[in-house]
Amino acid sequence: MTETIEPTEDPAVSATLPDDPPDQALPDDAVPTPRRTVLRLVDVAQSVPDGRYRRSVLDGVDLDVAEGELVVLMGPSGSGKTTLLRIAAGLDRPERGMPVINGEHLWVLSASELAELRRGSVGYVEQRWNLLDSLTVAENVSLPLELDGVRRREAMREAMAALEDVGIAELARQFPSALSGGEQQRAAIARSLVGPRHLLVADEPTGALDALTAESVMRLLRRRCDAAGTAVLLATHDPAVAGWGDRVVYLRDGVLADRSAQAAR
Amino acid sequence: MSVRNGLLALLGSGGHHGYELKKELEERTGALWELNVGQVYTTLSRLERDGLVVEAGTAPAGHGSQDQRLYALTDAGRREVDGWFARPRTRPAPDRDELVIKLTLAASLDDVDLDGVIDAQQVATTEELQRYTRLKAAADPEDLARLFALDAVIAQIDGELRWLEQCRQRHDALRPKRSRPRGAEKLKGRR
Repeated sequence: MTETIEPTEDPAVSATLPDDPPDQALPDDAVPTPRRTVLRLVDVAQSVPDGRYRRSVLDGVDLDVAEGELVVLMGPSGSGKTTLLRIAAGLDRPERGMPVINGEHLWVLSASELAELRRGSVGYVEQRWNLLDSLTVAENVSLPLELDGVRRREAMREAMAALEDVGIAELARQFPSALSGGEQQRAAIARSLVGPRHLLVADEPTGALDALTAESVMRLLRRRCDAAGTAVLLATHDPAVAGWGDRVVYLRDGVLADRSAQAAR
Repeated sequence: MSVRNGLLALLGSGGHHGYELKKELEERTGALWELNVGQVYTTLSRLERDGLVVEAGTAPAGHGSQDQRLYALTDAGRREVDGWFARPRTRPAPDRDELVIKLTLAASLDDVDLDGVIDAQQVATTEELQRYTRLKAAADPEDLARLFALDAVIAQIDGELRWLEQCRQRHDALRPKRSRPRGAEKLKGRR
């Protein structure tokens, strides 16, 4: 009665496979194609002002997130998760090291190029969902698209689909102040999902949600990874949320632990 | 206890034979574990001895083998089932858990790398959690029994992971801090 889990694709095994021409009579999925790296962090270090000194928060972090991969970042409060996420999303500049998104080295881009890359490819869900109070929920969600030059009608259609996905389509015409914390969180997630995002960075996106709503958000993110190939980097304290990840990495004392939990795929 | 009560509960819905009961009990409880058919028959004969079930005819077994005995609930058996559903379960005394023993010993012995033990377990337990979460992702959203059973396992694993992290942080808190100049707390308060 127990289900069997598919064994992990062993990279060592696939690496030694002969280079078959693509017209070989092999099923498409027989040789896994290496997935493109969407986010790459190399030796990232950051410190914060601490009285008369600076306190090191990140101390040489290396992390790759591939297309369609959901990586979960765990670690105690104050371990630097948010600092790392903000750097990964291109919001903050690290003191040392290099964040690379879609092959673009972020800190050689001009401010406007960086802004464009962020707007076009990166979704960011903050711990505190910053919805604009003067706009309706649907307008909040469609805003990034309209800023990107998408026609209003089309932007609204996508926004409605995203709201449908997170289960709050009926609240589209409400203003954020009329929503519960969990509903605002879901609106913020919808906003981060509209448009062709290659990378979604989410800081405790289920923090304010009950277990079932959190589960539906994680199902949504999982589908987004599997179907659209979006790369997701998500921080959480909730182990049940971490279970949805392909890989779970632990941040302690400014560095990522050597070992990470890797799901069998 | 759980097999005994489970069999009684199933028999409440009509007569069944032993193998049927085994299959039904597995499937209706989420299909996460396998039941030994021998245990089903032993339990049935004990229930019969206690007057909670009776034999209620036979069903042809096919292939020329012996006919299967059908069992049904007695009135006493029915009262037992109703009582079981009505009574909240009381938590059994904490079991001897290998992991608790391992960590408590690692914490009290000098020559064991406590953090290493916790970290390795955290990774292994998280991988179990990922495996069960994948089963949940694949489960039929209307199969309540399966989702209940998976949620139960996931909740246990979740609890273990929270406990492991708590142990890790308790241990960290006892370690002498790396030079953390004054002002750290003030800064935190301002945020």
